[in-house]
Parts: sequence; C-alpha cells; structure tokens
Amino acid sequence: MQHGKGFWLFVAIALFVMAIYNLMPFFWMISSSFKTDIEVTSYPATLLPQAFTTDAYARIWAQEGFVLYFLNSIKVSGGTAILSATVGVFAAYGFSRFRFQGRTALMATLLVTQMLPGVLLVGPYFKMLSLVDLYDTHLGLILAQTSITLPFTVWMLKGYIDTIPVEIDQAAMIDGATRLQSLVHCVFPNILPGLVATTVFSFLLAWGDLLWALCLITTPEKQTMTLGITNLVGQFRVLWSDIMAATVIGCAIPAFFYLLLQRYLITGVAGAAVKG
Amino acid sequence: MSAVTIRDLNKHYSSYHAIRNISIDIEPREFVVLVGPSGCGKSTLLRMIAGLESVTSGDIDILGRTVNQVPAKDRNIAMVFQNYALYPHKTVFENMAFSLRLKKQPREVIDQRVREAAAILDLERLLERKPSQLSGGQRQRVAMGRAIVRDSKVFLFDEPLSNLDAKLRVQMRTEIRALHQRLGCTTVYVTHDQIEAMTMADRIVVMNTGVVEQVGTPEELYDRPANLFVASFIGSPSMNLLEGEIAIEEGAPCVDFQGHRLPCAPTATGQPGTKVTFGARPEHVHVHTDGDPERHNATITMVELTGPDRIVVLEFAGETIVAEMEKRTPLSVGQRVEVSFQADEVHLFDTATGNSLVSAPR
Repeated sequence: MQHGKGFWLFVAIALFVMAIYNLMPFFWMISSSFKTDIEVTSYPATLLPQAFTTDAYARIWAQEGFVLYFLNSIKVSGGTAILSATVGVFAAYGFSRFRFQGRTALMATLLVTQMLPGVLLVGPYFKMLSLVDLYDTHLGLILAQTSITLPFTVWMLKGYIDTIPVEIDQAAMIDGATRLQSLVHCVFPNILPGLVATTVFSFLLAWGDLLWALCLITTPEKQTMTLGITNLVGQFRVLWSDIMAATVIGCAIPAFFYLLLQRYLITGVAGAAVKG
Repeated sequence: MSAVTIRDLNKHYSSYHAIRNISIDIEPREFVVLVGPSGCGKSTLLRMIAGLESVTSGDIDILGRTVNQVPAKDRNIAMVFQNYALYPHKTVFENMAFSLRLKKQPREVIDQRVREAAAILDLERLLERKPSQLSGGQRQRVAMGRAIVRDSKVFLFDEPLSNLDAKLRVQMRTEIRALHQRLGCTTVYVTHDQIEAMTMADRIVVMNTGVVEQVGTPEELYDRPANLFVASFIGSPSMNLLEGEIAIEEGAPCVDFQGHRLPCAPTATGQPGTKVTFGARPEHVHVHTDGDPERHNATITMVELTGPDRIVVLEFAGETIVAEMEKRTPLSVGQRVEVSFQADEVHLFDTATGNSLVSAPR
C-alpha cells in the first residue's frame, strides 16, 4: 500500500519526538557537566553552557577516592563478566548437549530466578556472605552480581549452542579431540558473538549496579563508582555539575566497550532473536 | 582377522530396545552397507562402532581390539556425517588439518597430508575457502578429505549423500566407491536408500526394528531374499507379493492364488494348504498379448516410461501387480493381456513367519 505525504510527515515527527525523549537525558548530562555550579542551578535553565568549563571534571578527578571507585567498578564488573561468561558457557554447553534427569526443571528454575526482583535476594546474600567472611569484599559482590547475570547468560548461550549441530562436537571427537578441546576449538569460535553479547551484558549490569554495592560493601575504599557518585549528594547541597561529570566518566567505559565490540554485539543480539 | 567384529550387540534406551543381539564380521577392505527403513537402528549401530553411543551389552572389536570402553577419539576411525559436520569457522585446509594438529604433527607433515588428500578429491583450489562458500558436493568432498588425512583403517559413513540432489548423489556414489578402491580401507556405510546399497556394497546388512534381517552380497539379497521384509525392501519397483496357499498340481507343488495356479520352485518346502506369499520381481512378470488361455488374464491400469524400460501396472485377480518391460512393446491403459511366471524366477514365503520357503539357492 502506498502511503501519502501526511503519513510520512507523522512518522518523521514521531521518530523525532522519540529520539529527543531518549537522547535528552544524555544531552542534559553532558551539557550540565560543562556548566559552572551557578549556571547548573540557575533559573531558567540553560540548554547549552553559557560559560563552558571543565572544572567539574578536574574536581572529580582530583577528588580523593574517585579513581579508586572507578578501578573498583572495573574490578567488580570485569570479575562479574568473566565469571558469568566462564560458568555460563559450561552450564549452557551441558544443558544443550547432555540429557539428564531434572534438566528441564533446572532450566525452568533458572528462568524463574530472572523473574524475581533482585532486591529480594539482598537479605539472604548479606547473611550468606557474612557466614563465609565475604561480606564487604569485592569477591562477595562479584558472586552476588553473577547470581543475577548467570541465568540470562546460560539461557542466551544455550540458545546459541543449540544452533550448532551436535555432529560438530562429535566430528571433533572422532578427529581426536577431548570434549573440552571440541568445546574450545569447535564450539567457542561459533558462539563468539553470543559470548561477547552476554559478557558485555553482565559487565554493564554490574557497572550500573547501586543496590548490591550499597548493601554488601561498607568500607569506603572498596566502594564502586555508583556509590561514589551518590556520595556527591550532600545533606544540604547537591553538586550537580560534579555528579554529571562523574556520570559522563561512568558512561565512557560502557560506550568504549560498545564501540569496540559493536560488530559482535549486533550479531549476538540479532542472532539470539532468531536462534534463541 | 576381521577389521570390525560385532558380537551379540545390544543397545537399550530406557525401555526401548534399539539394537537387538546383532553379530556381524566385516573383513578388511570390505565395503559394507547397513540399510533399512528409518528407525531400524542402522545409524545407532554405526554410532556405536564410532564410539558416539555406549554399548549396553555385547562387544565391538576394531582391528582385533575390543573398543567398548575406548572413547571415540582413540578408536582411530574416520567418520563422515550426514550433514558433513564441517567446522564452519575453519577453512577447508584447517578442517582437514584439525585432526593432525591435535596430534601435534609437524607443520610440513600436516601440509603434505592435507595437500595429498586435496589432490585426490580435487579440492586444491578450495583450500582457503570456508565451508559456507562451498557447494553441497564440495562440502561432501571436504568431509571425506578430513577422513582421509587421518589415515584410518576404518571409514564410517552416516547417510552422507542424503542432502544432495539426485544427479550429484549418483556422481558422489561413484566417487566414494572409487575412493574406497584407491585407499583400500574398510568401510561401513549407512543409508536408507536400497539403490545406494545395491550399487556400492560388497555386502549389505539389511536391518529392521533393531535386528539384522539378512546379510549378503547385493545379488544374494536380490535373488534370494531370506524373508518378506528383505524381498519387499530390496528392489525398485519392489517385488510383487500375492497371498495364497500351497497346492499340488500334477504331483508338483504350486501356489493357489484366487483360483489361479502359480508356479513355485521345485525346492520350495511346505505342506498343501499352508498359507504362503508368492513373490515375483517386476522383470519376472511376463506380459503377453497373444490371448493364450493357459496364462492368467490381467488388465493394464497404468503405463510409466522410465527411459529404456516401461513400468506396467496391472490388475490381476483383484490385486495390483507391477511388470517391467522393454520400451518397444506396444501396450495401452485398459488393454486386456495375459501374464505368466516361471518357477525358477519366483519366490515363496511362509505368510505367518515371513521366512522364505525356497530351501536351496538357485
């Protein structure tokens, strides 16, 4: 059916409005990070900085602990991503390739855990980590984050491995490979987009987390960047330009990963959509 | 010493008995085809030989060594899968070199072996391509190349031609057979296509519901089927089967079919009145147009041209039978003709057991 000019005009306006709706927070964040303290709270608000300044960035970077928060976040998010991908790929391979009693029930349980709000698990995790002396440690936080990301990782990777004929593994074993060798040499390379997508997903989830870090970390030196940013909200004063500058820096890492891995990410997410 | 010996082999999947007490000896350099309908257990048997399925009971020996507990990677066999199972991320060269790399062979040896195999299979120009850039026939050849470089003494093929079109299938049939002759390796080949089995095999193992129905050369299976299953499975068009009972005419046994007296081999066993199934291959149904009253009346219901021959479908005493005739015989649909059979060409089976009643080979 041919559409008239009016239809396309409506589509263009609708898309423009949606784009503004989505991009405006990012724009506001970046714009505010380059404003002075006075301008950022002035009324009426200015869209672009009247007096462009990078003072907020300088203050944030110079602030005691910020670099540490940043490194802590990289450590926790990286650890979560690596652990989640490593455990996830082996679990997904097992679910995909072996038929064992309780397989379907286990898969269903994994799915159900995705439906529970993460906040429900904070209490039990606090208790468990305390019992094994992992409370207020990065390893404890990594384990907690992994429990959230792992079910998704396993389901997504299983979908990927399912699309690889089991004869590929068997051909590798006939060729003289052990099961682990067949997984590493013949299955891994073919699920790389899915592996990258799930790893980045886990990283981003841990990177943006505030709840778990707030509940499971108390020592200031072990805090992550999200906690560091919330510390900028004072009782009597909110340092908006500093918060925005810190948030821009916080977004830089995910953006960097996205640009670096976007080829795999797009293939991975699209692949999951049709292969799942 | 046999290349592969299978003794009293059984395979259970929970309560399902997939392989039932199978024993087969496969000689060195022999090309043995496992054939049967879908679900008969032929692929399961092949996968058990390969080590991809466990053995419930019985033994599998490869080159004199019992391999029941030996993992697939240590059985020194080569296998070609139905869907080729090429590694999609590797080039043709790397696909073929993979097994040698796992064995940590020197680079020069790998290069030499892969190029030799590629030369045999005419793959030299394709070595840097990925499997997705190959046609079905080329992928099939790469799968064979991967098997060749391993220098295994036993080759296993699991329905390798079923994904190819009819023309390519015929071509690849010849290539696989030629390859077998050139390499002189023992080959076990699975197919559900009885024509493939007949044209390629030194010996055929006909399987049905997990049991071996008959083992023999293609000629033996075609000329002397041991039972009704083999008789109907081997041959295309399949054997005409008519149910009747044994009668005696002029002191000699014959088959009474709807009042028609059909000949049977003098060596046929069975008491008069025994329910039997009379079998005649389409080329052994003789069609006449001379009105001889000694023969049996039939009516042509369909004529199909196959090229050099014609398939004539006839209605004979309420049953449909098929005759294969030379093309030049003038026949038309609806025409009334006479059919006859010769005692030395027909088969006789016990209807109750399905076993052949012809006691001695002809």
